[in-house]
Amino acid sequence: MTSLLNVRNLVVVYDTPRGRVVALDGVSLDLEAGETLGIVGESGSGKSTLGLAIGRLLPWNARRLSGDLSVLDLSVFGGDDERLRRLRRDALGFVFQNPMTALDPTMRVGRQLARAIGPRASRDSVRTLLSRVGLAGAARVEQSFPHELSGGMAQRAAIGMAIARNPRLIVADEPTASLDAWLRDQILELLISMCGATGASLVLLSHDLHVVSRYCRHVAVMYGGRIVEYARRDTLFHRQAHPYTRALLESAPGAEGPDGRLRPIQGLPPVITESSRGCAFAPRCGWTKDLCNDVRPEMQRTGNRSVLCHRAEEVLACRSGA
Amino acid sequence: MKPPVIYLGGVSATYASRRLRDSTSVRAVSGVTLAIERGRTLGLVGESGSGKTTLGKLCLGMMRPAEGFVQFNGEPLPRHRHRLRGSLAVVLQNPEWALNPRLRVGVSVAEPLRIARSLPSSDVPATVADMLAKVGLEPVLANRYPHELSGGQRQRLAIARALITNPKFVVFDEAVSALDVSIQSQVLNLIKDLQASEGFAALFISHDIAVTRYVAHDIAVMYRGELVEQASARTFYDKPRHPYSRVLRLTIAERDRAAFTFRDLVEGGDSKGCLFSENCPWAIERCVIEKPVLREVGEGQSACHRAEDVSEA
Repeated sequence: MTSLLNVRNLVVVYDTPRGRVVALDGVSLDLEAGETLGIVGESGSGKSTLGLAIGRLLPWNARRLSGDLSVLDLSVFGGDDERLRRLRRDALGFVFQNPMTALDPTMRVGRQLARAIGPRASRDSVRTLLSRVGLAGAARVEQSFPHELSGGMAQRAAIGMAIARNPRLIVADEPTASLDAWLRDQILELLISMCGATGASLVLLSHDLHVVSRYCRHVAVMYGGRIVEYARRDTLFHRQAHPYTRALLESAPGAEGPDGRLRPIQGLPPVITESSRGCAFAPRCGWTKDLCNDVRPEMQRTGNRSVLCHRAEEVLACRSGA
Repeated sequence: MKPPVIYLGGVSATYASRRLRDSTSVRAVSGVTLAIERGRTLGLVGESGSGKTTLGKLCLGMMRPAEGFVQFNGEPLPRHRHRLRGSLAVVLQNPEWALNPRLRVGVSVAEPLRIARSLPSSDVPATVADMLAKVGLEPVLANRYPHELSGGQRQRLAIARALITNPKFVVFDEAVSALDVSIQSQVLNLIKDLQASEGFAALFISHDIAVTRYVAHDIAVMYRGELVEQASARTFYDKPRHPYSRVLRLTIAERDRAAFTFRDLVEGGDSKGCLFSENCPWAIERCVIEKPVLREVGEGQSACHRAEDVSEA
């Protein structure tokens, strides 16, 4: 069975005025049809770059140094622009944090949706699409300009654009970060039910491990441009094999230590300027040995998960933090 | 008994509509009464547009209430705000709003002292160095420019600038929302420690319930400009007495999830009754007709006709 999304050792760098920044430092990933994958990481971890790379939507100053990414067996870096364009149109749907970036401010929402549906769009198909994203009752939405909608409604309309042609893969990058708690659940439920109904796969990018694991069956944690742990959500929540995953869960409000205080991860997330020699998390990690600074860890299977840590077995065996 | 540091008595605030030929005004806050005592933190939660930031501005005297009054240490807020300079402070979401990009950060941190003229200028450098140590920064960082520092360091500096005049009351308006998860916890611990050591009263505004639970002693919930629930942090999280509080709590408590069936969100028009009734799973006929007022329920206050049923469920 061929996988829907296949990423092999992808290295992507940005050329900035202050020099090169490595955003993806060798990412490998497989996603099968119908799967839901949540990718978690802090800003600078490379998750957005990975999301954009799926549609080769990277900004002009990004360069792929090595590795490859293919969707439905088409390499997006392969250079066949016409096939890529069709892939984006028919197989991919993108939802971003700010719905206004997906909607044309000068065009009524109904007309934009009709364009997204394509040449066979009709009044009925636009209405159907609106009702699929929960905007059926609001007949005025069709006639509205984006700025006349509330944030939640605009995001629903943006999801409508993304699913208009029943894509095989939906990439949602922090789709609810700008929304209130009240709407957050509704929008994520909507995305999940859309995927369930059409058999599409979902890649959900977020900084919030809890949100991601509530909605996605698999979770990948990113740090320093690499995936550091990958597992089913229950496996990951039961126990963490990577010190960063564990620290992330332990530092969040709601997981205070016995003294009632938060246990933050000390130090700062790294900015990587060249492919890291050792483990990118080593400077902030409580488990660091000489090995961690000198030898680059490779993805290894431990039980039913993949981990990028020299000491994964020990971390896994230890109940509490280091 | 000493009066509370901040007292709002039935405060309302309105903004004039920005649309052309439209003389109506938007009511951002209506009829809010609350008090914050010395050494206490009140967490203010609610969605965007619910009036949280406006309430913060009212407390600081940056906006005058349309109705009601604001008291600071038992006295009305003076017309001329400069008289209270140094006693009130604010930390905003974005530290860049507090730090001049063209000044070394040490100068920015010292600026409130110079303006308040509360200290001989010879003592300023030592005070700044002390303050930087308190927020967990090396004193040498005073010579850097904001762009040379990380987001977490800049927010620590914004906090240092706010606290350097030893204020009696501090508003934290989404002060940790822009920070990364791992940095957020560091700054939250810092805020909590500083409050314990300096003893100021604080209003902690946030849309994030989990964060608010960690720093606040008491919680107030706003919905469309009105206070709908107020309780101690523990009571609020164990037994919320307002349906909207339970919706907010969904973000941290899985167990509530099954109990909810959301109605499709309706955009609220003017309602005689409870503003939340259109979206409320508990709503009965009374809720649509009669506006609930904030009343004592258990150990807190709730503005809901069915508060008892809500907390039982």
